[in-house]
Amino acid sequence: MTAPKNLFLFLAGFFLLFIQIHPLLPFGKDGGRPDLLLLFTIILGIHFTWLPGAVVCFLVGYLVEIFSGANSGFFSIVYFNIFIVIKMLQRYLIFDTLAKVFLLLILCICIKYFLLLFSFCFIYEYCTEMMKRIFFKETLYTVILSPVVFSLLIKTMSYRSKRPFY
Amino acid sequence: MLQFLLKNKKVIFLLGLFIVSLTLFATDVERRKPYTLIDKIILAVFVPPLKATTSLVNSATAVWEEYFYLVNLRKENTALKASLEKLYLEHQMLKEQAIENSRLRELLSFKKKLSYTFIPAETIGRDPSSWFKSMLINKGAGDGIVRGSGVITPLGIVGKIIQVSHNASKILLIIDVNSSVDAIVERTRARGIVEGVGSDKNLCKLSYVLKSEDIVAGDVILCSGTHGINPKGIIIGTVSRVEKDLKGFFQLVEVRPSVDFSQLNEVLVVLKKKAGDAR
Repeated sequence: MTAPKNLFLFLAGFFLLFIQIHPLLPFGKDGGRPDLLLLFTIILGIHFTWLPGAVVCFLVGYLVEIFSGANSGFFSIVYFNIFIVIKMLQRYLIFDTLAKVFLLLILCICIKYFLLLFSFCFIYEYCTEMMKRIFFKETLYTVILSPVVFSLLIKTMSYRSKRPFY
Repeated sequence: MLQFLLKNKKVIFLLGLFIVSLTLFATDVERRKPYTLIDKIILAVFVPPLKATTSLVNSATAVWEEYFYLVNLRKENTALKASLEKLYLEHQMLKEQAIENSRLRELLSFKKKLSYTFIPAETIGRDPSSWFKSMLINKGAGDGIVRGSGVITPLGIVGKIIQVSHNASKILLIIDVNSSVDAIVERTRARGIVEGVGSDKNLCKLSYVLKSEDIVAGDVILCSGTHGINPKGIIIGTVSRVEKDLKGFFQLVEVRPSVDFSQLNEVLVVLKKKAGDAR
């Protein structure tokens, strides 16, 4: 990928984080917020190579932690692991259609949930019943917003590119 | 050895990144660190647009409320006047009681109560994740806010400042799983710790309350003021459910906070008044 495309993608990532922390985001008043940066991580996983992608995912997690009540390193681990899983899957699968990307999203949401479940069992005293409810809401909002966010990111990446992204 | 490292540099780099994340997490869980210089620089980039957009929308909402919602103003005005008269009477009585209380405390040589100052602030950001409950406010170290300060509204306790940059601060809300506040039950004076449960319904629980304590739904839970973070007697919430048929010594007490966190726009940061501070 070329430098301007990278720059536009990073700006899109910043924009998604800005929306995610903005108090006027219509979702989230009932305790669940869409994870727009998970969608960003998926796009990074599909289109970035191992090393730059891993560094960017680490930084995405770091940025989230600055604004979140989570402890440092928590989201870096989550996004980093999701990126690694996507890269490993890419050895056997090609995510060349939106349907496949959507299936990948569902898988990534499940991975994130299991990582959270693991850490919440050992570190935070989270009630499993509440985790399920929050997970359901977060998944719902993330899936609802995914077509818009994926389109935005794909458009950003295929900017000045002669061929369409998919 | 060098050849091995060069051959597996990709794996080593990824492993290194993972270990860095894990180390950051392990050290921060033990004790939460203040904002680093990098964090402060990133916040300095994000805070101005957050402030601008939030105040723009708040102004637009205020215009709407002030000019287009005048229909019920007369009715509301009458009701407010009546409530003001009632509150004025109550205020007079409480003032008298406070003077009497202060005189009696002096007579009994009690320790002088802590006094506080309040800094008003606006919320400019919410927690990006659904799993943790925090908020960003538009006041920071430049306005005199320090780490560990309490945050309240006239309705009750909001949380505690956990990280401070020059122009913004992060509040850990009382509904977060990492939060705990020393509390007392207003009616029975039973003590306990109000802890967040990370619920999507913004609930808390009152922990370590013995089964022998008399607590019923509707009881008001107050801040005990033990640590001096928040003034004593500030409302935390009301008991919404009590369960005693459990194993162990303690009962399950569910608390509904008096603050509506989904509608929270303005807060007051509590600062301990220093000796000789006239603010």
